[in-house]
Amino acid sequence: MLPSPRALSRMMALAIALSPPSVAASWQDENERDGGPPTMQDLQRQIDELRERLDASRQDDDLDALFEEGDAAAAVEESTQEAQARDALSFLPQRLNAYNPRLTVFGDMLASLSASEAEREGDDRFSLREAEVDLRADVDPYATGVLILAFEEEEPGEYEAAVEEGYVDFVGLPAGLSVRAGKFFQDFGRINQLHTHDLPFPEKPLPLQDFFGEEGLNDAAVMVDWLAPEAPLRLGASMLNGANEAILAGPDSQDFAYLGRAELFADIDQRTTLSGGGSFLWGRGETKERETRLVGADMMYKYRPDDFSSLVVQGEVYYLERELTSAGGLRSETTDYGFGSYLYLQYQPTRNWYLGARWDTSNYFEQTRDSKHWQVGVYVSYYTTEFLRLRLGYEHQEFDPDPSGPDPGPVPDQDRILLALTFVFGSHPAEPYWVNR
Amino acid sequence: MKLALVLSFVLLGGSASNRPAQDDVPLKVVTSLPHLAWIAEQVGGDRVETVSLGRGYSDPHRILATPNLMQEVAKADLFVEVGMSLELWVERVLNGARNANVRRGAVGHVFAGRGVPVLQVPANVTRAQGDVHPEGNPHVWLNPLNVIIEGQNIADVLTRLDPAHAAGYAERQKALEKQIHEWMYGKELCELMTGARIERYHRAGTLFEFLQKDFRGEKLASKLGGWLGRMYEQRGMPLVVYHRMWPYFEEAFGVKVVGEIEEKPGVEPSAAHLETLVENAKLAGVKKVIHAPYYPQARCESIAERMGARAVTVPTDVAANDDCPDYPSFISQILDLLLE
Repeated sequence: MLPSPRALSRMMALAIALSPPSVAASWQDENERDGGPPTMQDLQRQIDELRERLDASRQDDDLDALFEEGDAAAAVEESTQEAQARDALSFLPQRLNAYNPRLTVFGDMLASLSASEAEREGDDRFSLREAEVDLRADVDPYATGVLILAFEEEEPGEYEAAVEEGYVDFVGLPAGLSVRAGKFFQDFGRINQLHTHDLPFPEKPLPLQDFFGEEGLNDAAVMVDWLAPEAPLRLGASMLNGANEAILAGPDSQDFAYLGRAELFADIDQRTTLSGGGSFLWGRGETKERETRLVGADMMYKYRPDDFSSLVVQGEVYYLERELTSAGGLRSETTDYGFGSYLYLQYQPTRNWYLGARWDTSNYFEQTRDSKHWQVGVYVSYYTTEFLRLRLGYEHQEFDPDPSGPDPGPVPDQDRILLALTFVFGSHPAEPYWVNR
Repeated sequence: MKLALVLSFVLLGGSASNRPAQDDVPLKVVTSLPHLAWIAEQVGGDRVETVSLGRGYSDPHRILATPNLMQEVAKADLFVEVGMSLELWVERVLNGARNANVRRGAVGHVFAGRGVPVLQVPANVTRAQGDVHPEGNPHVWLNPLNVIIEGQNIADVLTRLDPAHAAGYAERQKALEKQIHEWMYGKELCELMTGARIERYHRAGTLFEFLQKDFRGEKLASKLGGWLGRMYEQRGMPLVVYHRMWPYFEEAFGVKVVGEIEEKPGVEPSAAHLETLVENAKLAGVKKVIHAPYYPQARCESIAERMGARAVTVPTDVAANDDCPDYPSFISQILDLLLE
């Protein structure tokens, strides 16, 4: 039921008396403008308006009171949170240790079970074949440093310590250039730069073993490397000692050797990458007059349908020319030609499993040309996490000696089962390991 | 001697320096992850050009450091990553890029996660606990409030690189903050309380209690809109997740992660772990098992089935699929999937 106009007028008057002067004035203004007495609807509307304004001012008071409570409650929690944060960052008087290099330890254990009559060195025993300590840190604003110490089992039970790599990378160079100086695995092909524990199989492919020897192409050198700004191209050039014994002059080398590499790469789509490269090595061999030339070509295709499965196809070919003094006399010269290759396929069906197969050939076994050396291997790798890997492999190897060369005696076929365990602990750096594992 | 001089020039003196920002050339911002590129665009406006190396559907831990990524970084004026050991692959990319201006510690490098109130800092750092991050859980962007902090970090560096446009960066950062508040809480509550005050209560953990207060005959919660408004009635929703990456989402939206499928971060579950997880999930009444697009769907489904729940693939970064090209659609999509 609506109040009578008389009662309404009285209520309005009261409201005006209570309200701030401006409200009263506007009410009067409106009445005067319209002329004549206000209608019922006008009055109702005005009452609603006034009620809203009154509520609004009361609302501000209410809100302020609420905020006061709310702020106080938040302040209590905040002071606890702050105290916890202070606790965590309490005064640290000496943080010089923070400059120490990051340290990672790698351990690599291998057991090879031979099914052949003639046993190779290291057959049928467990061997912690290598332990590595990897240290790395920024040296100063211009360079970062890496030192990798290796302890290798050279003879059963006997370890030899060596600086496997020790170098600085100059990082402040313009124009996409970088310079590496020190002792390091040379940038030839794809596998040579990998440490044993990073390999996707237990041992390096035959051509690498036959052409570079057990230690790989590892030398003191200065390397300049350029990444093109637009084209998918990387170029590298090194000047090295030539200390490799298998094809260069060896530790007593008195002339530098030179190495160049070009690599093309492309992310074909978001799941597929392809790259190919060529490498060239030139150096003195047996004597100052005898040269060695090695050419390599390589490719890698990687497809990752999702983050936990992948397919890799990788291959390399090597071609060697090595001038030697022939058996015929001091002055007569002969040239050894070597050819080697491998092809590797790897399929990762799930996050932690990798299946691989590799086929190798080399005709440069123990530096006798025209021998035929080949091997086929299959491998299964299981990672418990990124830091621990178990690997089972089977390899079959055959060797046919060069009929015209010196007789190396009978070399029977070899069948081996390989068990490998690799572990990593410490501040593990993000290395190529991640790519090919 | 001459050689030494030349060498020292090449190796030391030749160091590049950040190019001075020019009015007509936008700064090139390269980010590790897509949400960072979105933030940089909001804060940088037309002063920046952004590229994200990581894709929204990829595991941020496991991106392949290809030379193509290095080339992108080689051209960058600014590199942005979350930090906290999330993007381990970034180190290889930065080393390969030979761009001294954006190396970690250089002016043109930002850890966007810096200053975020960090959760799950391990008391004991050991790999026996799986892939724990010594600095705390790095998946900070799953709380929209942290995006404001990431934006501020990026704005600070843009201002240093391009001081002539400082006012623009500050203005856009303010606008980003206001926008996040409105998306998060709705316009009405922001006008009533101011976004800053709501955020303060939210961070202090007193917001839900505060919203229970009566205001003009109604609970304040009735004014709550936005993302939190959608989740408000569902706060406490029990969830099972694949990987331990949701604490910031829990903090923001009040959902409750009951357990993870991974036994420990990065460690595949054992049968015993799954059995306990299924029991706990049943007790808690879990209806959804959520996982990032890069985790195995079939496996999550079979585990969810044992709990009487459903496995749902949710995006964990911007551009994880075509329907979430930006940050607001990304968060909205997660909420849609949780509420459907």
